[in-house]
Amino acid sequence: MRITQSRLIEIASTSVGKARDRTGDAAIQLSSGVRVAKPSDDAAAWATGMATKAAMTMNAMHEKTIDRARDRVTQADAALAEIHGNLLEAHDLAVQLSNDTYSVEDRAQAAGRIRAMREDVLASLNARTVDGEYIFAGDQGDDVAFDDTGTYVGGAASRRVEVGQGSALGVMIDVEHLGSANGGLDLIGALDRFADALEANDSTAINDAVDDFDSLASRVVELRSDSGYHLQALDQARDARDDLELTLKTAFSRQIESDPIAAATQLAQAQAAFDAAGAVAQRIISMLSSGR
Amino acid sequence: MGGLFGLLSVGMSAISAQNAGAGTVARNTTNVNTEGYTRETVEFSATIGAPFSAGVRTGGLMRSGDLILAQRERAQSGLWARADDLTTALASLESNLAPASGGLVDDVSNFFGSLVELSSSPMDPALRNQVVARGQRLATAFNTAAIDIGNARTTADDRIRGLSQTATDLAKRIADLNHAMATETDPALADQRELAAKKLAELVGGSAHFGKGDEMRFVLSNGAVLVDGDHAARLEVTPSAARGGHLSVEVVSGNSRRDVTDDLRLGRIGAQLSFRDETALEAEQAIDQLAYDLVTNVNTIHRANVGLDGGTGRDFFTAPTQVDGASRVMSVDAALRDDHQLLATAGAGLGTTDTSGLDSLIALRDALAAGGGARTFVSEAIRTIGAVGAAHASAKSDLDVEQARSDFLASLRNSISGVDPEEELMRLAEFQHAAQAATRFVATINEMMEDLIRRI
Repeated sequence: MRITQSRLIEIASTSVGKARDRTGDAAIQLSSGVRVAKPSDDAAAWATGMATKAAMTMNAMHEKTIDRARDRVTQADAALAEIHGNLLEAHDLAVQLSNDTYSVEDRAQAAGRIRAMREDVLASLNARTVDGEYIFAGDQGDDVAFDDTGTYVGGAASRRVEVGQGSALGVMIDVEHLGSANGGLDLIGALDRFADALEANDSTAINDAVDDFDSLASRVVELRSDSGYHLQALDQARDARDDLELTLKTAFSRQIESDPIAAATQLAQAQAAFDAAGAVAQRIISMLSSGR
Repeated sequence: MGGLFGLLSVGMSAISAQNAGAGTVARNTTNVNTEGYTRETVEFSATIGAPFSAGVRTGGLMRSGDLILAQRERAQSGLWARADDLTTALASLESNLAPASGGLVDDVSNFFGSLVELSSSPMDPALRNQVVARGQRLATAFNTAAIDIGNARTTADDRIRGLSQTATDLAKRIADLNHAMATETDPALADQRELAAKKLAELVGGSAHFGKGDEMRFVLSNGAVLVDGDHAARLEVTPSAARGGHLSVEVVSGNSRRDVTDDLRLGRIGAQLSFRDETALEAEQAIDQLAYDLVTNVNTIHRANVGLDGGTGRDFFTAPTQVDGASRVMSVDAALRDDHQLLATAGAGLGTTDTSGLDSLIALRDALAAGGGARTFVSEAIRTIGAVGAAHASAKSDLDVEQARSDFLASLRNSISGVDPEEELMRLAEFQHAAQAATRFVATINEMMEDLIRRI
C-alpha cells in the first residue's frame, strides 16, 4: 500500500497518543489503587464489588447494633447486681435480726434501712437507658416497669436485634417474675413485709423473710446468668462480625482494587510502549526532514 | 517546410502538456493538507497523424479517487460517529450515576442499615433522626439520579437540535455543489461535495448515490431523501408530546414531512436519539420503578406500624401517584421530617417500644420486592446503574473497532488519493525534464527553419 508522508505522521501521532492514554490509565490505577472505579471498567466485577460494599455497610451497622445491645444488657446486669447486693444485705439483716437478742429499737432502725433499700431496688427495677427507655419494661419501655406497689406493669420482653443478615439475638431480661402478679416472687412486697415485721418486732415474720430473700436472690442470680448468656452471645456475634469484616474487605479488595505489583508491571509496560512509540515518531519525523 | 511547421507544433504541444503536468503538481502540493482533497493527475494521449502532425494531447484533470471506497468511508463515518457520540454521552451519565463514593447503592444500604441500628434502641432520638435523615438522603439520591438522567436526555436534545441544523446546511451545500457541477468541471467541486457527504453521513448515517450527470442523491437508511440533485430537504426538530416533550426529528421537503426519529440510529444524531430514547430512557424507567417499589413497600409496612406517639396509618415517604416520575418526587413525609416520634417502629397492638414493626421494615432489605419480584432493592440499584456502565463499556468497545476500521479506510484512501510531497517533487522533476527536452526540440526545429530560410 502506498503511504504518504502526512499519513505516516498521522499514524505516528495516533500511536503516540494511544500509548500516552494507556500510560495515563496505568498510572491512575497504580496511584489510586483502584482497578474498577466505575461499572464500565468491568461491569461484573463492579456489580460484585457493590454487593460486597453493601454487605460491608450492613456489617458495620450490625457491629454498632451489637455494641449498643451490649451496653443495654450490661446496664441491665448492673441494675440486677445492685438488686442482688440489696437482697443479700436484706437477707443478712433478716438472719441477724431474727435473733431475739435485738431490741425493738434495733429492729425499728433496721426497718428504716429496709424502707430506703426498697426505694433503691424499685429504682433499679425502673432503671432507664440514656435515651430514657425503661430497661426492664419490655415493649412498654416508655413507662416504668414496676409501679409503686411492685407490680410489673411493663410489656413483653421479646425484643431481638439483628446481629447478622438472617441472624437475631434476644437482648431483654424478663424480670416480670420479680413482680407480684401471676404468682411472681413479689420483690418489693417482700421488702415491705420485712420492714413491717421489723417495725412490728415480729420475730416469726422476720424469720420468714430469710426464705423470701433466699428465693429472690436466687432468682436474681438466674436473671444475671441470663444477661451473662446474652453478653456472651453478643460477644461471639461481635467476633463473627469482625471476622466477616476482614473477609468482606479482602473480597472487596480482590474485586475492585488493583494488585500493586500487577499495576506497577502494567505501568512499566505502558511506559515502555509509550517510549517506543515516541522514538518511532521521532525517527519518522527526522527521516522525512532529512529527505528534504 | 510544412513538415517543419508540423514538428514545431508537435514540440509546442509537448511544452504545453508538461506545463499542465507541472500545474497539477503545484495544485497537489499546495493542497497537501486540505481536508478532503483528492490527488489530481493530468492525462496525456498521443495525437494521431505521425510524424509531422503528431504530438501530445492534454486531457482533463483526473481525480485519483475511488467511488466504492468513498461510499465505504461514508458508511464507516456514520458508524464511527455513532460510537463516538454514544461513548461520550454514556460516560457522562455513568459518572453521574456511579460516583467514586456514595451514590444510590450506598444510600439504599445505609437506609436499611439505619433501621437495623435503631432496633437496638428504638427510643433513641439520635437514631430515630438518623433513620429519617438517611431516608431523606436516599430520596435525594433518587431525585439526583432522576435529574441527572433528565439532564442527560435534555443535553441530547440540545445536541440533536444543533446537529440537525448542521445536517440541513450540509444537505444544502451538496445540492448547491450538484448544481455547480452541472456547469463547471473543476475537480475541487467534487472534492467538496464528497467531503460534505462524508460529514453529512457522520451526522445521520445514510448513503449517497449518483444519478444522471454525476448528480449526488443522499438518502437516509429508512429511504428518506435528503438531497436529490439541486434540491435539499431540511432536518427539523420539534418538541413532541408523545415523547414527553423531547424533540422529534423530521425530514421536511416542500410540504412533505416525514418523522425519522425512530429510524435514525446511525451518525451522531442517531447516537443521541439512541442514547436518549433507549439507554437513558431505560435507566430513567428502571430508577422510577425502583423508587416506586421501595416507597410503596416501605409505606405499606410503615402504615401498619405504630409510632412513639401511639399513632398509626402514616406514610414514611410521600406516596407517588404513579411509577412515571416517582424518583423525581421522592421525599420523606414532611410531618415525619419534623417529628421523629411519628416514625412507626412498633407492631400493631403492641407497646410503643416494640420493634417487630421495625423488623418488618428491615426484612424488606432481603425481600425480592424489586425488579418485578426478582431482586432486592440493593441488587436492583446495582443492576440499573450497572446497565448504564455495561452500555458504556460496549460503546467504548464499538468505538475501538470502528476507529480501527476508520483508520484502515483512511490509510486506504490516503494510498489512493493522498498527496505525497516527495512523489510530487519527483513528478515535477519529470515534467521539468520533459519540458526542457521539448523546448530543446522546438529550438532545434526553429534553428532548422532559420537555416532553411537563409538558404532560400
